[in-house]
Amino acid sequence: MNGNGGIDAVLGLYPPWWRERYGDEVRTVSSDAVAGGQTLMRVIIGLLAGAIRLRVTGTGTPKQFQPWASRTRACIVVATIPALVALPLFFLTLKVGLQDHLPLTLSAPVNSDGHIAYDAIQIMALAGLIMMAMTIRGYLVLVGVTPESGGIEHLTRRTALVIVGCALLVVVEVTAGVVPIFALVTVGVVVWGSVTAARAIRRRGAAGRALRHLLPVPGLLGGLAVLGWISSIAVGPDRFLDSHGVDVPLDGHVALAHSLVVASATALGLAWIATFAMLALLRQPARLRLGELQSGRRFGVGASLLLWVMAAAEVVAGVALGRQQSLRLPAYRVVSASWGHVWIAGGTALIVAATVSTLGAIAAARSWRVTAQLVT
Amino acid sequence: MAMKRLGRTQDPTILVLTSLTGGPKHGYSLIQDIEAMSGIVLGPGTLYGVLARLEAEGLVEALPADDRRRPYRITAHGAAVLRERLETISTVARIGLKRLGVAGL
Repeated sequence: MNGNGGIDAVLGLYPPWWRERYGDEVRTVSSDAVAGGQTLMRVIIGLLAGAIRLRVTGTGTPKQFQPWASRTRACIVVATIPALVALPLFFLTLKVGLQDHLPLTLSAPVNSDGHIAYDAIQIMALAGLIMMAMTIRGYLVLVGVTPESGGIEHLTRRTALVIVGCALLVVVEVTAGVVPIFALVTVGVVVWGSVTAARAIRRRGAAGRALRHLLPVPGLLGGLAVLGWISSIAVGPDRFLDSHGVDVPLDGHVALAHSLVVASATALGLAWIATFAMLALLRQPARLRLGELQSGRRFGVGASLLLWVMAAAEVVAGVALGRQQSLRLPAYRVVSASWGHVWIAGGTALIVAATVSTLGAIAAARSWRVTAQLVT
Repeated sequence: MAMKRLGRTQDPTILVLTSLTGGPKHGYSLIQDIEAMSGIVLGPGTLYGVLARLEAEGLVEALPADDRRRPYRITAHGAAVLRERLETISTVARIGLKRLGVAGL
């Protein structure tokens, strides 16, 4: 990347109205400044700082609806993007931090700290599920694929129903300790979000060729993941813990079950990636209405709150598991010995994500107030 | 070091407005004039952040562009605001120097 490329790349971070008004001038002045002795790096860092400052404060934004609507949308993206980044990290943490990821049972000897850790993990998982559905829906609003208010109401009702369904299933899971249900719920939410996104895009009728090819992929992959998971449960071994706490398989096809789980997880991951590829393809500017921005703002606030819930639950789980190990109590069987680093890394990532998301949500709230005033 | 720290706290808004009291200037001329006037080298990012804010507040206005260099000039409102700010700074400076026992004050 040459000097002009670097400057152009940083200028891309400024709002469109600013680039249109000052872009050419700043390019010229930056070239003059570099020719006059300022280092290119200093110029680029200065421009980067200016872009961040402008995005945060909105200083100088013309008092017109469209620039402020774009600013509100950018703030909502900042509030929801951390959720998209944190979710895969969260599931990675859960997978690496758990020794026997299938099946997890409550048949192991569990002390009070183990129970606290287990409950905290459940709360985190529930928050993650709700957030997963919310971020997909929030993004749909942001890209303007649900422009009709009737459609939004319909989809909101459906979102509420799915969230209540997820909550009920997780309650069943906490009560019965059957984690495959949790896995199925997770897959279900991803499939639902992906299929909803695909249907909304199709209804919008503006799908390009690449998008049309991508539309059925997430739902298909999600369906395969569900099948794989159910099959793995069917062919997997039953287990019990002997008196020394050793996990003993009874019968069944361990290798086949493991392969099915890995294949399902891969399909699920690809479905998740395909969903966001699909949403990224939709990223053309849409003229947003005030109601859509308000919905997006609420999704941003929701994502921010849920990230804090997840971060708090992860810290509680980490502390409880730490106490358990330090006291040399019988460790909760599902937690691996190397939990420490994983949970600390996951907790830190969630706290950072929650902080960024909260700042985005606050900026979105302020920006939305101005946008609402400008609509008249 | 302490002087350098104090120097960094200089408000670029005052520097830009003060520079424009000498006549309309485009971006790079402003950077050069401010450096000559105060020893502070503003980067384009800082400069245009300030110019955008001042323009939105009606303290400066853009003139027709010459090539891709657009000159800016201070408005009457900008001059009034600058005068008020400089008078405050001047009063504080006079009192501070007097209390420091600087001769002639």
